Amino acid sequence: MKTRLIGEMGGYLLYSDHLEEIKTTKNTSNTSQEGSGRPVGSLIFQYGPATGGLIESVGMNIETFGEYIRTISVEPYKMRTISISRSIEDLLLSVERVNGNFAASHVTAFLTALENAYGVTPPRDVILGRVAQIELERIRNHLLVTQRLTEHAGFSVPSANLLYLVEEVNRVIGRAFGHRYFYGVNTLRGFRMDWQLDLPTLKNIVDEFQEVYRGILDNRVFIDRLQGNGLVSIDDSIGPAARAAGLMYDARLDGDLAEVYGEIGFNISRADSSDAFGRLLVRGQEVSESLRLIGKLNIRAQEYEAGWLDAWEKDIKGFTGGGLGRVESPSGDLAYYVGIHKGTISKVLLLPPSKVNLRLFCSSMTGNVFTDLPFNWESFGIWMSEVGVEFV
Amino acid sequence: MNWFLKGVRKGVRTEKTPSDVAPWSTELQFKGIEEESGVTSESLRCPTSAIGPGWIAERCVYCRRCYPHYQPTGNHRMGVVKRVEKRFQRSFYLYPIDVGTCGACNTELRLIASPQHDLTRFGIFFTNTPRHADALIVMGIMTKGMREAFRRAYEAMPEPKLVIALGACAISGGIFQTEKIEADVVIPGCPPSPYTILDALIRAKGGRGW
Repeated sequence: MKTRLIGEMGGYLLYSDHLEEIKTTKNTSNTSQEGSGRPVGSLIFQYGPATGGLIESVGMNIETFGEYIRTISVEPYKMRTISISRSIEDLLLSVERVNGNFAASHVTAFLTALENAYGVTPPRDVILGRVAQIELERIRNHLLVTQRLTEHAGFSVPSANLLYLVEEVNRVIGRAFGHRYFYGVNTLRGFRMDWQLDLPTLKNIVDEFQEVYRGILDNRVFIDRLQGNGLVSIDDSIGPAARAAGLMYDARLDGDLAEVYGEIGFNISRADSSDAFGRLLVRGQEVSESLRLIGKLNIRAQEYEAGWLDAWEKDIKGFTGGGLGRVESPSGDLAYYVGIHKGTISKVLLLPPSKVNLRLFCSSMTGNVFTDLPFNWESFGIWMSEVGVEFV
Repeated sequence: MNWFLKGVRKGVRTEKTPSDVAPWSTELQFKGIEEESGVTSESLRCPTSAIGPGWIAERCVYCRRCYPHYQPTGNHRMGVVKRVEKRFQRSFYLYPIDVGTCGACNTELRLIASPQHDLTRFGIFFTNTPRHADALIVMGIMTKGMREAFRRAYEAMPEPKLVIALGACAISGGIFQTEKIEADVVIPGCPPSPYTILDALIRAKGGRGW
């Protein structure tokens, strides 16, 4: 697979197969561009940061003549800092809370970076458990994104159906792992799973989703809001946005968990339009694929606190080095770099998918109109919580 | 496709009583005799000092380090209502403000509108403007960028008004150990489940809870 630039993390550029120090400055701002200077008659409309329309706080400065959007810039108002001067176990609890909806993806990428730094490999059961959690997260996220799209369209019945299904997925996760967002589930040594995963219920959820999904795709009024809305450049897109444009690009093919995905027979989902509609199509396919993958993983309920780290723990004092962990979160590439100096964590760099998707959103809004904005925004599955985080 | 008929065919999916709560979002209780055990926040490595004496719901982030000494009881009614406003009994409008969340509280709050929970049957609604709100639901740690938005939203609300702190971050700073937000109603959890949220909201407007 061809090497692709994913995004910037700290003073580095992350490519699909390596990390490179930045030598020249690239434009990675969250601002769309159309010419320079403000034309006569345009105004800046400020949307947010606190609004009822969006699920999180986010501020948007929209340069417009009234309807046509000329430029847009997005500000993450809720900037949080996370101190790395603490034990790895305590830091793990903060990593879970970078983005609650992608907690398993964040923890997996962080732990994989740490394991890569130390050169250790967890038992296979632990890796399978992490994959299952990420795929469950993907199902929930894609249902939520579809629900948000239908809600903005005022499509009440499918919107209520989908919200019902999101709650049902949360319950399946809660019954198996004890917590609906995987908090406290993953540890340095493994993960906790109290009950067997309820696969029949999960299958019913996905079947019902597919029924609703086919119904909304039949509705011309709804898909007109998505088609041609938020066209992105193929070169710098990731996750569902890249696959919507037809690219064979997915961190499940070449990221840290690629071996497991390869063994269980992962099929990439793609579409042929790089707009909000294409992204919805990819998500629709991925929900079924995630269910199929979870079924093949065959993870069992038990507490994985194996002693595989005991020998390693004796050797970590005085260790200096670093490692990168990269997984495919529900919205695309998610990467952590963890630097270790004399046995303690000295640096944590994060590239969340929302950071890349935010840039894509801004660049794709130019030329659109106000009514397109919520559909385009939701189609990327952006979470501002992970954009405004800095490890210090 | 006729969505109306499709909706009717699904039948009523709203729950009469709470039925399916994730254990690690409910009250924790010591197993045995706590006074004789000698366990403390330090001995259990509790990251938010949520142990001792007893379990402190407002601080707990459910990391499970206290397990098996402390175990979930399944009781979701953990909200503390310091001020009841009976004038909101028939209609209670909420304006949520996220001042620095991880997104989980936002999703759980959103899910009280799911058909299983259906907040509107209890006379509770969301509003898109603080000017129409009876209560401000604040979630997350107080970040610098959101402080002014929070103040302005509070000032824009008509009297009488309630402030509801939702989740460990807003109540006690949670895992980030930042400042706590003073509130009339506190809803513990990380994040609180939709059951815990609804129960506290119903009690805040003079009901018996759920």
